[in-house]
Amino acid sequence: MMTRYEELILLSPELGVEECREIVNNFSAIVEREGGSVLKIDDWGVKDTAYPVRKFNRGRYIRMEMDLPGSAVAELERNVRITDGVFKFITVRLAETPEAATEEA
Amino acid sequence: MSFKKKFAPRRKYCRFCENPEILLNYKHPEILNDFVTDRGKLIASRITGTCAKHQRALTREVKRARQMALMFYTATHSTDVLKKSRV
Repeated sequence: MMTRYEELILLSPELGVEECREIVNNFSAIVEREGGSVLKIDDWGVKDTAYPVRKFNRGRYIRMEMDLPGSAVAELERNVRITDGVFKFITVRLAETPEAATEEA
Repeated sequence: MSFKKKFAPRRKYCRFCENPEILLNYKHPEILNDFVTDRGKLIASRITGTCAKHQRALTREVKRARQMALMFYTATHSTDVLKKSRV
């Protein structure tokens, strides 16, 4: 049973491009290990945050879109939580089934 | 002749019902910003005319945007405001 999810992660602005890529690759590996598939990775770049987060006024936003079994979300979030450099994250369910998922920005 | 009697408010309508193209989404805080006050508080649907269905969605998306630091919770913590006060 697969569901379409999206994960928005706020990373520390101190991380370099390489380190960010490494973190994202790590998450992708976890998604695949849990039997899901990553569909899209969006890097919004370093943006100003609306309020200071851990004393920084900016951060790098990365958005991942993926199909994942619902039971694997907890495992993914657990890994996101223990990764250094991740300031904030949110997981949003986009659609019940991958087929029902509409393409939107 | 009272001013109040002459004033006829324009009919309010739900902006999201009017135009389904508008993406009501936490990733687009520019749109959500029209529905909160300068201090970041949600404006009642009574004032904006948003329908109940879209007001619920709006509330949810504003709260998500705040969580991800795309919108501020209160103006005193806003990066914009802090920048101005430092000058």
